[in-house]
Amino acid sequence: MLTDRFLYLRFLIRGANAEKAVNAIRSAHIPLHHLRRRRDRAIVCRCKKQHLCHVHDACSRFSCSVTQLPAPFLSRLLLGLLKRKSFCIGSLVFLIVMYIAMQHVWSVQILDAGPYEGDIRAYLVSAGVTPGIRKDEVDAEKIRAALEWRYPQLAWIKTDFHGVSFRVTAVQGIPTPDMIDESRTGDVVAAQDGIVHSVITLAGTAQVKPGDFVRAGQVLILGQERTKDGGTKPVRAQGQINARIWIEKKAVLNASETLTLPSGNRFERKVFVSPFFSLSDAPPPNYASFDLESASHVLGGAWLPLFVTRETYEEITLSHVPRDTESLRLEAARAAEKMLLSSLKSGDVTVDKWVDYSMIEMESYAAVAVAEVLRDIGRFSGR
Amino acid sequence: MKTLNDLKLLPPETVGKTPRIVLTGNCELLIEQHRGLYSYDTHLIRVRTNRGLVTVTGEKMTIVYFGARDLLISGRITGICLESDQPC
Repeated sequence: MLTDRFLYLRFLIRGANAEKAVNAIRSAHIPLHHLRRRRDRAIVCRCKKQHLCHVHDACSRFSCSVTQLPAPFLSRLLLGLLKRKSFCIGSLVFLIVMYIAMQHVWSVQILDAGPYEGDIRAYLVSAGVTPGIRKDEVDAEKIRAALEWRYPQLAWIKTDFHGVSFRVTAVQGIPTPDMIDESRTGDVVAAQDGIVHSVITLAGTAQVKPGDFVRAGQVLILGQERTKDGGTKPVRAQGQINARIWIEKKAVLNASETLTLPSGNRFERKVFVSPFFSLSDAPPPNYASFDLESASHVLGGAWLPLFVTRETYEEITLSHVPRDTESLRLEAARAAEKMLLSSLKSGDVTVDKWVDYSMIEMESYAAVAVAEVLRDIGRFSGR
Repeated sequence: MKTLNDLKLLPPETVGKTPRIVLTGNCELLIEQHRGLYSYDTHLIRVRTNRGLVTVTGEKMTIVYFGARDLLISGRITGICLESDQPC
């Protein structure tokens, strides 16, 4: 048999002429392995199964006995595997399927693309990059170049394969600030309403003074300067107009909260999920309201996109209870202040800050955070 | 063949049956071109060659490979002795 050429056997040679028997085996060009002399003077050694008959012949010529011992571990393992043909075939099929599965893309990931994620995903679908496509049909470099051309706002794009996923990683660009064109003439106007606090004129003629109330769009520094001969010449107005402005941010919260009370009814089911379909052992229950807890387990390791999800539905009843007024007030104030702080700019100086509260028809609670800040409200307006 | 050997064109162990003994550290001993075991024990192994008897002494010695031409001994080897009365 073919296996006789690869399987090794262990046996014991016992007799006074054991060395002669071993030499006779050697003369027959049969290699022996791992010869070892035991305490009882017997020699333990190994040879291939196909040579066993020659070993018996050689030993019988020198009146030595041959006792077969348990085969070495690897040979026993190989024999055990050969007896389980269906296991071997199944393992081989599994490895082949795994290998084939690894040659395909099973998921498309888009990372850090921000608002462009949807567009990028739609473009990939139109380019044919969908789960199930072969990896060698996807030209990652070509897709990267196309995305860079389509989205110049993205500073950097990387496309690569990560296991069985096709991954697009993007870094959003930071827009360059407006370049100042020194030759362009114009005025400095108010970006918003406010009361002028201080005026610093670098070029042009100031039109307002501290204490003046200005409206959005009103000229604060005129882009004109007097010349030596009494005339005027147009210039690019520059300066800093700090004004007191008021910023309001409103946060509205529900005055009641919804509590969930479990009714005691539970339903469990298992769902087998693949990129193309999902199968479940039962339809979802027809609870009016429920809490859903799900846990996914991966099948086949990281190379096969097959999951078993265990879903637990717990029926609940909803009840609306009014919230404590004090905690509601504090939460609304915190929310409004947080919104206000996020709207402030880096150069703003906060003069004062307060929060006003109001209840709207017993259903909502509103908090308005107001801040009085000093801000440079000048904005260049070219002619 | 002897003429070629004299001309030193080929290594002597590949021409004829000159035995070659290679000791690696004190744990492994390779004997090429041997003519069989004379005696074998875990502390004393005697191997026949066409140049004489090679006696290997040591502790817990095993013959890892015993082939028609080569023999590999492993264990703690403490001494090797070649008993030969033949000229080079």
